[in-house]
Amino acid sequence: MQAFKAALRIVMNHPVYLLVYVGFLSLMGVFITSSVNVGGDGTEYTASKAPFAVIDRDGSPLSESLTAFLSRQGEKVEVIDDPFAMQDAVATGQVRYLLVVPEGYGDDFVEAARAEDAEPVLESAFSYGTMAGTLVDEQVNQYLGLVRAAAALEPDAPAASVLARADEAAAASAEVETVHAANGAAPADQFAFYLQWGTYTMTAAVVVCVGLLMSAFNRTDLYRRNLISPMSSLRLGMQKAAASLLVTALVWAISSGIGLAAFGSSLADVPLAAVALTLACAFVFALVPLTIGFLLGQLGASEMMANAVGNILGMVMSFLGGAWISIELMGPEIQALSRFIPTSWYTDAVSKSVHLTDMTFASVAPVLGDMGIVLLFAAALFAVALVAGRVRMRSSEAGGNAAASMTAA
Amino acid sequence: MEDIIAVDNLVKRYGDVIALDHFNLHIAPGEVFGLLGPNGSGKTTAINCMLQLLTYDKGSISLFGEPMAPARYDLKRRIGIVPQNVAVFEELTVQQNIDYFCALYVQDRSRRAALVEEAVAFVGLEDYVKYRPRKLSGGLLRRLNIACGIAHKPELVFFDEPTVAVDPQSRNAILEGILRLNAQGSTIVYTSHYMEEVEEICTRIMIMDQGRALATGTNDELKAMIGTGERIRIEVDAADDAVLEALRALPCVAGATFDGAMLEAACGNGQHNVADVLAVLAARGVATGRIYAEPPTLNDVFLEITGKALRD
Repeated sequence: MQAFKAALRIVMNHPVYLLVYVGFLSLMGVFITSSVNVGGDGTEYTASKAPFAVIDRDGSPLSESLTAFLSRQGEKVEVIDDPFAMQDAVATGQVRYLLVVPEGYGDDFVEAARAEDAEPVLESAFSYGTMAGTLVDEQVNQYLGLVRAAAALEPDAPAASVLARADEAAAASAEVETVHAANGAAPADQFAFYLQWGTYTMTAAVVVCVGLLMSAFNRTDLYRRNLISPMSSLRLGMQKAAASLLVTALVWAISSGIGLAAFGSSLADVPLAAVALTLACAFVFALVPLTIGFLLGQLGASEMMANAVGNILGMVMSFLGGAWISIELMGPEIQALSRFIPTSWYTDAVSKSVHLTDMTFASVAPVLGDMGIVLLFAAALFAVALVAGRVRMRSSEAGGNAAASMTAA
Repeated sequence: MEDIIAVDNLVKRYGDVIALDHFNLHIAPGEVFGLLGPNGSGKTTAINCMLQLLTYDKGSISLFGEPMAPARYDLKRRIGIVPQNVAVFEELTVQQNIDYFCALYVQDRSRRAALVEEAVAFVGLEDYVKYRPRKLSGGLLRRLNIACGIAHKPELVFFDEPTVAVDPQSRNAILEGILRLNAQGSTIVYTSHYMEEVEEICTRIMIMDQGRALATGTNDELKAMIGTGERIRIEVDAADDAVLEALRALPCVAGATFDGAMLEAACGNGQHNVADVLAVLAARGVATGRIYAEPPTLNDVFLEITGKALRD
């Protein structure tokens, strides 16, 4: 078991990889899953409150009333009346909407409304990157529209009366009730999303760790040194494979464990067998990066190369496989391409398995079918890795002739 | 006594290039056998064939009196190898590396622990057992490479150019270690293109070039095979052509040259070479300074056999 132990030591002597690729990326998956609120319970509707600021140079009842109205809709932020402070507040996202009420605006507005003249203009600025500012602007227009109507209806009424009428009208709001659609997101989708996002975690972590392990043993000099020893190539290979499998299982266990700890409660309505099947899907998927790591090792890839491939391939596979963005939202070409990416079959399997309500063969078969395809991907990559390894060991780099390795096994 | 290594008529081709040309080698137990030759002469290829890392086109190889084959793990268990390139795990410490390679041969953990400790002490790496290889100097790395190769106390050890790019201190430590290993009972096969090392430690030497064994014997036997007996160098103020011609006319002198400060005479085997040369110089009135009489080197042997210097 010496090669097995040495292989594990090689991985364990790089704790940063385990910490970053497994721990950190899994936690990132938890945060992302929590933030997108997939399959949340949705029993209560809460209107979002955008941060805004009003620079009131007017100080009229209208400007104060408008500010009070906006404060009920959003979150008021104090910004001083200074060009740089206002620019900073908008540019840094401190406020999504900034309104400047010029001096004399209130009187001019009411007067223009009653005379049916053009109304004075308000200055406003929106923070880019979100529509929240636009919505606040709509609310401003809505309130001013109410004031305009009240002023026109009662041409002789004092400003306080006009604003009271506008406030009364603005206070009306619609009742909101949350209704779950039959095919909508279920709570268990939260765990499913975590696992799907985790394809990147598993790909990067397993490719790097297994690639590291395999590369160490496949360095030409070490490979030849091992061939000279009394340990057969077959035994050596078996021990390396066992260590790689254990590392893969470790990555899978940690990643899945973190997911269960964070979102396990969302699986309350899912049968235990379905949860087990979902986790099994994740393990089967982990075999794909395992074979990629094995392939890298056979090609003699360096540690840096393993890192680069693990990350880039992890991102590409996750994206094209629909793990991050639903594949239905992408173009037909990408959708067609995704069928050649194991991640898409895996995400499909996970989505199906968390929605299983019974464990009959008919209900489980589609999941098993998807996982069978993922296994075929792994098998194909493994075959390619074996061929690549043999070709490399026959190359001049490996010493020109490694036929001994072929017969020694 | 039965040969520990018996190689007969070994032929190894790389395409059109003949790496080993009917190569024969017989080594008795207890020898420190040197394979001497320039780079590309076939030393490493011969070792790789013996260790079954390379297939060969013709010939036979027996180790410990048994035919060697890739799956002869029983024979491999009795062999140690210190490869030309340092072959250790960069990710493991010095101790873990030695333990790994020792464990390929020795399963018993307690016995292995003692062997590893012994190997560490043998190469003088006691202060570095927790170090990773990348923190070791070139000389210490070579010592680690040796420890990995000999920790299991093999009966037969191949040292393939173990002192390449090594500082003089580590080089001496390595050579002393090899002699101690031999004294403990291991048969040593030592390849090098440094003739001084081979002369220093080997009991028998084979000179190789272009895949062929050119000559085999002890250091003295090899030097006795060639015409050059000794090289006499004498500090003189001047030596004209007439002096040189007179020297060349001596039966024992094969050649004479003068570079402006040192007169050099290549002599054959003879009892009175120095006296004869000095007599000629005295007769011509040439004042002499310091006199050096050097026996032939293996480079002289190689030069005479192949017509080129060993380090060409």
